[in-house]
Amino acid sequence: MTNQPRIFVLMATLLLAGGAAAQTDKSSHTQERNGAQLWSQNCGACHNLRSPAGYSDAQWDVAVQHMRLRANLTAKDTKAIVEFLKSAN
Amino acid sequence: MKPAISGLGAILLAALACNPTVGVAEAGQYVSKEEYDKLKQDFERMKVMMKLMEKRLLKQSAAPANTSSNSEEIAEIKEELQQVKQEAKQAKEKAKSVIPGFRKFLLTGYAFAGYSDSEQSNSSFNAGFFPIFLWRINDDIFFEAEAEFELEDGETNVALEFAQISYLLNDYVTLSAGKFMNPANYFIERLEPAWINKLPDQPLSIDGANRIQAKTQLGAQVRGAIPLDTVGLSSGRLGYAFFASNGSELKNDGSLNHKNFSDIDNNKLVGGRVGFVPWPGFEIGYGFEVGGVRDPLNNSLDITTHIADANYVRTSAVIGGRIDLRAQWAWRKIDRSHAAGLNFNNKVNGGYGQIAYRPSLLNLKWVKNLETVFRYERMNQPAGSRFYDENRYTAGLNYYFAPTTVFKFAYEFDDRKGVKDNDTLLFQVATGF
Repeated sequence: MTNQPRIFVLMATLLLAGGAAAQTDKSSHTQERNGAQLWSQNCGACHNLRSPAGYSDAQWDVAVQHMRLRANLTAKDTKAIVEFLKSAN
Repeated sequence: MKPAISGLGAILLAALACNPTVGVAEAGQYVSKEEYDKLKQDFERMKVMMKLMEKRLLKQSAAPANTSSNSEEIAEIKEELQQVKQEAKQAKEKAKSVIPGFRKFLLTGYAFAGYSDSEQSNSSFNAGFFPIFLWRINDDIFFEAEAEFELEDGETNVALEFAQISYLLNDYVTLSAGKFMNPANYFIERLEPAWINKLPDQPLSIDGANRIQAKTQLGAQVRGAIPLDTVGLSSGRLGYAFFASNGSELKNDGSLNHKNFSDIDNNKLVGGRVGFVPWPGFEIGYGFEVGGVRDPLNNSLDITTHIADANYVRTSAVIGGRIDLRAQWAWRKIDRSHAAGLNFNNKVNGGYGQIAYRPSLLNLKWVKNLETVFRYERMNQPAGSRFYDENRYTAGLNYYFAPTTVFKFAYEFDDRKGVKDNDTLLFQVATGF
């Protein structure tokens, strides 16, 4: 193994360690997450969050469906996120 | 009310009847003028008392009745107000629904403009525009397409980046067909748009010479997500995507032509990725591609690719903002060919690690919109090929004018094995719309 894959392994280890540390934050994992949290955590995992007011209810229906397919969101989370965005726009 | 007053009068009359003076009069005996006057005074006094008591009773009986009436009226007004609000909301929705295409169509996308100054090439401005068209045909059918307009090599490159139709079979399975972003590669599928990518350019393994995978695939895929609470875990999900496509074509330098739209070598590629998300913000994944290509001697060569990725994003008050960690490495092997120019061990691997930090929770307007980025990347090319190993370190500083509009500055230290280094200065402004 060259140095470069080792660096990748190191990065991956750091990521796993970070993930393990985050796992200790029981409150964020075990409590019932509402639509706002799901929106922030799932959409924010890839990009900055657009304002809920940026789209209408109908437009959010389309946009979140697109992201459901692209990011492999669950049907349940998708529904909760759409409901939150519609209530907040 | 009236019976109450009558009852009161009866009581008063009874009281009068009990009065000894009155009793004399009722007995039919004669009374003196003084007795008559006294009786008359008593009667007048009783009348005044009755009037006073009647007024008091009326007042007492009227007061509770008014309160009850007011409560009922308020309740009715509230109910009517609620109905008006409901009707207004329905009218608003109806108004939206009659706008042509409004309910099912969304035009979104992104654009960028940039500047680069490299050691080994002329400095240059560049720009690109990528509209994305989304149609939700109904609850189960979805169509999405992205067009690409980019200025490259002295001309405007117009391309269909992706176009696919999807059918949501159920909560866990979606079937898609068309041209789609390569689901085996996390960066390509989710982080590639310029307003999302944190540096002005893409990693070498994604966009460099002899890049390991195709950015898009032309074929069909099945994908979806399984919530882990269905198997007894408290949270998390397992995402998956598997595809079959035309794959790529082997070029005469050992690299792959990924624009194999007609599948000229008649070798299909099969691939996919499984991503484990124990909780939002943290994902690790494994992707693969297996298939074949034909060399100039018409021999079929096996091609195998593996990709591992890890991603962690967290906003925390402890660090005053958001940290974004990414790592991805890919390995590709193509069987050795005995054709001229291809007789070498055709193995390539490469990837990147990236860390970005934005102090988004600080109460300083200018500072909280800044983001620092550092990326390390590497490409190990096949020995004996025309390609050279490359080692690149990039430091970047971004400023977000809006959540989807960012100005990026970066400097790349690019070390190339056997050829001159190619350090590069980059600027880019990108927006998602």
